[in-house]
Amino acid sequence: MMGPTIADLVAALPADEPTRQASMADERLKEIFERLSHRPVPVGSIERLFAVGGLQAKLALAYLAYFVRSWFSSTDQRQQQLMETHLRSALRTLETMGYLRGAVMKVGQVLATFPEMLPDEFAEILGTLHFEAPPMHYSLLREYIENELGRDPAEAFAAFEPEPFAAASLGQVHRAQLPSGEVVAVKVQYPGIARTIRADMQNLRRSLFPLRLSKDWNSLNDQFGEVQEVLATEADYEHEAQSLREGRALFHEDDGIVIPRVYEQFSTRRILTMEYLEGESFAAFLAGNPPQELRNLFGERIIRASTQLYCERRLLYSDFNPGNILHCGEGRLGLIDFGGLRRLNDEEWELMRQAHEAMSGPDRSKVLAYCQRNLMFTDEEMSANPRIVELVEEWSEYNWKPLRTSGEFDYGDPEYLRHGMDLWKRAAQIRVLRQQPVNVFMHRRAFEIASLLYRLRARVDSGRIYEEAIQSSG
Amino acid sequence: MRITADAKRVTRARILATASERFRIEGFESTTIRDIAREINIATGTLFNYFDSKEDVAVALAEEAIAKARRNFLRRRRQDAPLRETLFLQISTQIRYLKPMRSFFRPVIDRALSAPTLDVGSQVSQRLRTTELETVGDILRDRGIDADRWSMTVPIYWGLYVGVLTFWAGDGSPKQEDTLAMLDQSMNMFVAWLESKG
Repeated sequence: MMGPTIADLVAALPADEPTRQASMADERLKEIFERLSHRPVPVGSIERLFAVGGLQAKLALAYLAYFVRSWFSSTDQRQQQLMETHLRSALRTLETMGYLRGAVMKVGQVLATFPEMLPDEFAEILGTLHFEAPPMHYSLLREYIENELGRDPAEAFAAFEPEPFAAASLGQVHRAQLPSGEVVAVKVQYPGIARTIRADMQNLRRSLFPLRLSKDWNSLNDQFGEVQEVLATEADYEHEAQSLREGRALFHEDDGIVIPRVYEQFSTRRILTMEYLEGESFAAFLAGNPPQELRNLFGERIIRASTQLYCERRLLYSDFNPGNILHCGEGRLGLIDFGGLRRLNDEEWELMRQAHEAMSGPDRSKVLAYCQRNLMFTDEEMSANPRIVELVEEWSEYNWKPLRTSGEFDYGDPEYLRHGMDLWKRAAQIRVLRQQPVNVFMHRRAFEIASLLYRLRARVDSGRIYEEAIQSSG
Repeated sequence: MRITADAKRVTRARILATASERFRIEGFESTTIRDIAREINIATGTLFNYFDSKEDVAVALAEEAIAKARRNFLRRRRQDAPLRETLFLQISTQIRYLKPMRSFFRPVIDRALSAPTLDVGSQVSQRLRTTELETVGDILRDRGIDADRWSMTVPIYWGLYVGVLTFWAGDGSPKQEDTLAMLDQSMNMFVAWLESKG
């Protein structure tokens, strides 16, 4: 029997009484986004939640829009109009960024999946989130590949399929065969798009600068910087190639985790040639109604891949959308997109180490100290904002629950997923504006994995996997 | 002494080869007609029998490159390719063959490509414009489109074509990848306009 859909769970959550000011702001924002949307989007189900594309910048843009929206609700009429002017200016900039059209409309995966946070009509406008890099016909592709690799694809490869078999966030993917016989996937970025994005994001940042009057501007500015960095990283295929090499070095054949090999001779900053992985999509795997043991095994490998990358290489794989994973047979996990991988710096790693220490033991004062550091609160702010502190504490507990559970954790339990959704909703209501940027990705990662494993109905001993990874990383 | 047609062809080819090298190495502005003439041991006046100015020399170099590009394009194009792709291939192939003269392509644009009508300028300039429009006219006719049917077809195409080449001449992006995007989007726009006319 099928469990409840996300829509069912959301409908079961208690509704809020919208304030009068919030309603006015919602109406205005609705008008703005309607103009940008140009096309109707069906109200989604759980499938839409999981079908979206995978850039973390999309989430960060969602936060950005959400934070900006929150200013409407807490200011007087004059301030509202002023803020709306700035928002319109920013949105006009966004409007010109056609490749971000989906992201602008969607305002983030998270917000779109919680229609009770927003007016129904607004949620309907929000579309499938993906970058819309223009498709490349073969003549363009051929010219571009010749520029990048120094040879026409017909000369560089033994075979090259002119039609792409998949879209990438900033380009498209073609199947090909190397002269040495290997079948490969060649990811090609749309020419010039990386630079265009960089320039546009700088313009967007400038147009948002008037919002610096807010006391939380520094945090917002940091998070915006995070978005820019992620976009720049995603557009650099040499960076992705390096991440793939690092990830691949971590896993062995019998781990059941497959990361494609990179072929450097056929790769540049804008072209990435990787081993072509045979396998079925996540949706196809589920459609085959796999037995519980296979679901658990696949789920375990998802957890293991994520945990080992994090513990042994400080790499945050926070792009667990179904489009990036393959079932390669007998529960083997294929991970195919390393574009959004983020490496934690020393300061962030220390914060995460503090989180581990706090959440592993019974000492609540350590948990609160970690929350304070996460929120960048002074002692006075900690006392003045008990609801925020309570929420962040509860969120940490939520993320750590599977790791602290002795034995298998049942990710198929709808209560766990519902609790996560409730936390997101409360974060929107309480307006948690300030936090360490890395936590945006940590929360997202935890929830993406939970959502994925919910669909799998997997039961996994995450705690054991985590401890093993900690041990092997020293 | 009468100069044979063959001898004239040889001299013309020497002028072009020498000019190309000097323009590339010394720069277009720094190179004079006298420099070119001296290097191949002919009188300056003799050189003027072949070309009106050094700008015309640059245009002639472009004409040669574009002729080679056209032969390559005819060999490589797919008969079943969409119109936008064929138009893209036509211009991108030109750009590839014009690449050695990118540093001195501006005079070609000013001299030959920016003229308001086809019959303005030197013979070589007029030939360059006419040849390009004939090529595009053939491509459109193959698709059952009569370029003369709407008075705006030629000006729109020409504006986009010259715009792309002008952009390319100054494109500082790595490997001029921005030009590829500009060309792609320009041809999309042109084809969309044609389709809007039914």
